[in-house]
Amino acid sequence: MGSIHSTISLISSVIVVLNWMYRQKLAVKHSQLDEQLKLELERKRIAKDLHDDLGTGLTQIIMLNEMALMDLSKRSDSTNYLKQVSEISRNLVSNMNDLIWVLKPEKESIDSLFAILREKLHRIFDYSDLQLTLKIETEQSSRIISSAVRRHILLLCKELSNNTLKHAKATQVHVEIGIVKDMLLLNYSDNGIGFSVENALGNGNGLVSINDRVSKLQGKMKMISSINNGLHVVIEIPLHLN
Amino acid sequence: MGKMNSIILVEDNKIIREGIKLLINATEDLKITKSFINGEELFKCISDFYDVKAFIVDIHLNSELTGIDVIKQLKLIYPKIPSIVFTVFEDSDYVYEALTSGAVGYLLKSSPQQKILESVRDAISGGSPMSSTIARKVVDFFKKLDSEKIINEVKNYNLSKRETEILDLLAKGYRYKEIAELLFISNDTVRTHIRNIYEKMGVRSKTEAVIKYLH
Repeated sequence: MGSIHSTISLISSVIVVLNWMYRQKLAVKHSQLDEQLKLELERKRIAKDLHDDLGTGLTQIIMLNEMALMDLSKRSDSTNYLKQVSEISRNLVSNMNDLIWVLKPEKESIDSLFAILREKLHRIFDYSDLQLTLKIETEQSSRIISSAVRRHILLLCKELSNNTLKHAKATQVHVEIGIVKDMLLLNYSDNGIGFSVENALGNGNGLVSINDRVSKLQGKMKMISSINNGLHVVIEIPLHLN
Repeated sequence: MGKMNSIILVEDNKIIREGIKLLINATEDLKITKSFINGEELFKCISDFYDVKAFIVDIHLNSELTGIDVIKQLKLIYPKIPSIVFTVFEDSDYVYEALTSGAVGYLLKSSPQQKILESVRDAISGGSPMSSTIARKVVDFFKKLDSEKIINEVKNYNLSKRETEILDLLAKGYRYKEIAELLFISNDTVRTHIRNIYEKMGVRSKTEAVIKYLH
């Protein structure tokens, strides 16, 4: 009799403990979910604020500028300044749009990053005299990537493109991106006037932040350029570490 | 000169309203014939809009009726007149919601003037814009409906094979021009397909709501 009693009490105490552990685990899961939900709500709030305040404000600036431009005589020197104000404001709005995208907490597939890259790169070079050749290897592209990879790769490509557009005096840009095994590979080159890589990485311009992004993702970068020899950048990002 | 296309504008921000009026009214083919600061004001004169060619509706109206509400109602009253959402950001969830509510396009407030005018003309002549982000959401939308087995009840509003192909390419970030080349069709055909996809999505989301209500 006694042994049955003690067995039953043992079983019931095991059940109590297991039950407690299960509840603990649930509680942790709940608080994690809460945390995620809070983050998502916060992101939505920021996105809405960006839209309502900054977005609308910048749009008003653009509209006022355009109205002033329509009013001014074509030869006035001020038209040039006003055009620049419009252009800068437009870039800000478009960068804010990208920010909202990269701040999304959900994991997404490489597919969606590649789609955005295709769109952005074409848009960046469409209004210039540069010819863009873009090669995207879609193997493994349904693989999920973290928001950090997504953010850094998008911004990195934009920074490289802007550098070419503003400083390189190039006529051609070539971008190749794809995944080989666990590596995301980015090959970027232009046929512009080039620069001294040592100086460029030392003087705090956009190229430094490219370097920064690559090291944040524990990747490797090789930048080859010299005066009058264009630019060639090879970047490798290990996806299994991110 | 060609015919003057009459457009109705709903926008609560005065500067933006005046700016867009000035821009559009400076053209020879487009004219904002009336503008309103919100949906409530618009619906007071709703019966006069027979010869209107498009509605441009701000997405965030500062009043009871949101831009999406306004678009939904306009679609009911004037199903043939295209509504265009006026927005700051292209990829916002609101734009997608507006597109499922009957809008056939969106206009980015910060676009260069030439681009804004192009987009309005495009909407009037039967075209529709679609970014890769929106295309992805549209793909998910139809997938979800198919998995919910309500296909039979709305058979005519399933995507055709061609439409699915176009949608997949858009979701990958290809542009209309590239899609036209890849599929050996004209730019105009691509545009028409995309407009039809939006139309189907609008009908399906309405049907879905009704079916959910009945069950």
